[in-house]
Amino acid sequence: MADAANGRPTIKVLVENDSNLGPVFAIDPERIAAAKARHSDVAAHISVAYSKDCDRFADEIADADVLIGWVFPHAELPRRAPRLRWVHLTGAGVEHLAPFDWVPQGVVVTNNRGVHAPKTREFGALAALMIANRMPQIAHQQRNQEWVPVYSGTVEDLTAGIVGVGQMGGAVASACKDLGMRVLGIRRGAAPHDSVDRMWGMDGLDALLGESDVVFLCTPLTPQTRGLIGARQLARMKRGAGLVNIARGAVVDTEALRAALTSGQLSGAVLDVFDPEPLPEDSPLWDTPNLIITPHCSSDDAEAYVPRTLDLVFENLRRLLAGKDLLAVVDPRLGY
Amino acid sequence: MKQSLLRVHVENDSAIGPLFAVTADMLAAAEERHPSVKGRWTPTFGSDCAGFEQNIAEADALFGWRFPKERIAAIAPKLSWIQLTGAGVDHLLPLYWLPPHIDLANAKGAHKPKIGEALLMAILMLNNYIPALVHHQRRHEWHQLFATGIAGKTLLVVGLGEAGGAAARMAKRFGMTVIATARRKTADPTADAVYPPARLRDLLPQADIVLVTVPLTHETRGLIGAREISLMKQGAGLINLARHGIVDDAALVAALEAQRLSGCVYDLESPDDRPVDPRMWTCRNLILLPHSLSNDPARFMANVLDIFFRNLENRLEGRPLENLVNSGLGY
Repeated sequence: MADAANGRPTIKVLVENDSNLGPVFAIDPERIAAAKARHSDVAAHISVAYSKDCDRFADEIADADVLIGWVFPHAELPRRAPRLRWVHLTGAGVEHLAPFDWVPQGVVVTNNRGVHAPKTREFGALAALMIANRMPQIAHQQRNQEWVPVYSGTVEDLTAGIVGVGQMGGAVASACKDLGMRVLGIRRGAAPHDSVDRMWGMDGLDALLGESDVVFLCTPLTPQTRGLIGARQLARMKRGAGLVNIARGAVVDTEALRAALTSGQLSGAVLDVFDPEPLPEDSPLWDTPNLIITPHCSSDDAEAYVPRTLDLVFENLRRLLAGKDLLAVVDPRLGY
Repeated sequence: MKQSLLRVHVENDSAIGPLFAVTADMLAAAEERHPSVKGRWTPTFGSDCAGFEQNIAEADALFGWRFPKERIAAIAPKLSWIQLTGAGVDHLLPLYWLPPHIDLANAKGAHKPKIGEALLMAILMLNNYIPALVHHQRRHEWHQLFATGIAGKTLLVVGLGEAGGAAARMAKRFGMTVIATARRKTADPTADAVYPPARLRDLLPQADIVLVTVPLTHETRGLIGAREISLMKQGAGLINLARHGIVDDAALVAALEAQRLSGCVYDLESPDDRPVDPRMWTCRNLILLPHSLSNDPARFMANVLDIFFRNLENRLEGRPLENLVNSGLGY
C-alpha cells in the first residue's frame, strides 16, 4: 500500500471487466464514481485501475491490493499478485473457479451473494404464480394454436419448497410467504429462516419434494448438488407440481426433466439456467412441452445490479480499512 | 300465518363446463353457511333450457347464466329476482327485455382472490419481458432481456372495478404507483388517483403497464385503438382482460410487431364464439390466456353460492339485494 498525502493508506483496486457479460454487468468509471459519491468516506482511500478482457490485467495486478472481477487467470494470482489481499467475484455461483486451491495464502475471496435478492424476490413471486396458474402449459397450447381453458387453484393454497435457502433462496421464500403460501426449505445445518415454516438439512430432500406444489432450486453448484434432481427425485414430487431452477443447469438431469414434463408428472417448469449456456439452438429443451425458458436473466436487475454490487464492495472496503471481517466470504472448501 | 316457500329455479348451462354447474349437493353445503334460510325456499333444476318454460312459470327467482331473456316477461309472471353466476353481463345487453319489477344481480367479487393473483402474474410477466422470452423460445433464440425491479413503476387500471381493484392492491404491495379510470367513483383505497373515463388519453402516457378491464358497453366498444396505443410509453406493456371489441386487435398486433409495446397478456374468450385474427397466435410478444385464470373453480363457485345465499336472505327479510346491475349503465 502506498502512503497518501494525509498519511493514511491508499488501497489499489483493480476492476477486471469481461465484455462478454454485456453492459448490465460493466463496472465502468461512471458507476465507480457514483459509488464513491455514495461512500465518500471510503472514496478518499482507494485508487481504481481498469482492465477489460484482461488487456491490462498483467500490468495492473502486480501492485493491486484488491481484485474485482469474474473471469481472469486465477491460477496466476499467487505468482503475479504479491500484494493481493482480497478477491471479489461479481456473481454468486462461483463454480467456474472451483476448486479454490489457487487462492493465495492470506487472500480472502468474496462473492455477490445478496446482490440479487431484490430482483430474485420479484422473480420468485412471478415463477410461483406462473406455476400455480399453469402458465407453462398455456404458453405451450398457444404454440400449438390450441384454445383450452386451464383452471387452477389459488396460490395461497399451495406449498413452496426451496432447495437451498441462502440469499437467493431466502428471497424466494420471502416472496412465497408474502403470497400466502406455506414454505418449506432445505439448507445445510437446517438453521431456521423467518420465511420458512419448516426447514430440513439435506436429508429432508425427499420429504420436501413430496409435500411441495412448487419446487425452487436455489443451491450453489458443488460436487454434492450436481445432478441432485434426477428421475427418482422428480418421481418423488407430487403429480402436477412444478419446478423452477434459478440455481445452475447441472443441478437437474435435463432428460429426466423433459420426460416428467412430457408425461404430465410435472405440470410445468420455469428454467433460468442451463448446461451449457447459452442453450444451443438445437437443444430439445426449446420445444419441450409445459416449459418456460428465461435465458439466465431472472435475477440481475438491469439498472441496479452493478450499483448494488459496488455497495457491497465499498462496504467491504470500509471493513478492510477498519481491519474488520469482510461480508459474503466464500469458503474455499465448500465452494460457495 | 305461514309464508309460502320462495321458489328458485336453478338453470345450468353445460357449455360453460361441469366445473361451474350448480348442483343440489353444492346448494346444501353452502346453505350450511347460511342457516337462516333453511326451510324457507325450494329449488328446481334445469339445464340448457330444457323445460325452462314450465320451471320458470312458478319461480320467484332465477339462478343461472344463460336463458331465453326475450321471453322472460311473458313466461315468468312471478319472477322478481335474477341472480347471475358470473360478473360480466354483456350477453344480456341491452337490458330492454328486463321488466322493471325484476331485480338483476351479478356475481361481482366472486373471482377474488384468484383474479388478483392472476393479474399480479400478468403484471410481473410484462415487467420481466416474459412475452418476449416466450416468443424467443418459440424461435430457439437465446436472447437475455434484463429487467429492472417493479417498484416505482406505474400501473394504469382502465376501469377500476373488482378485478382492477384486486390487481391494484397487489401492485401496491410491490411498490407500484396505481392510477385508474372509473365511471362510478372519484377515489378508491386501492389507487393513488382515480380519474373519469374521459381522461384516459392523458393517463396512457404515464403508465408502464396498462390493464384494460372495463365491461363491454356501448361506451367502451373500441375504447383502445391505434390512437390510444400510440399514446402509451415506448416499451410499455398491456393486459387485456376485457371482452372482445374493446381493444382493437389489428392495432395491437401492429404495435407489438413494431415493438412499440414490449408485450401483451391477452385474455382470449372462446374462439368458437368469435373469429380470432390468426396472426394473434404467433404475434411477437403476445401471450394469449384461455379465459380461465380468473377462476379457481372450487373457490369461485363457493363465492357465487355465498352471494346467492346472502341475496336469498336479503329477499326473505325484505332487504335490498347486493350486486345489483345498473340497468342504465349495463354493469
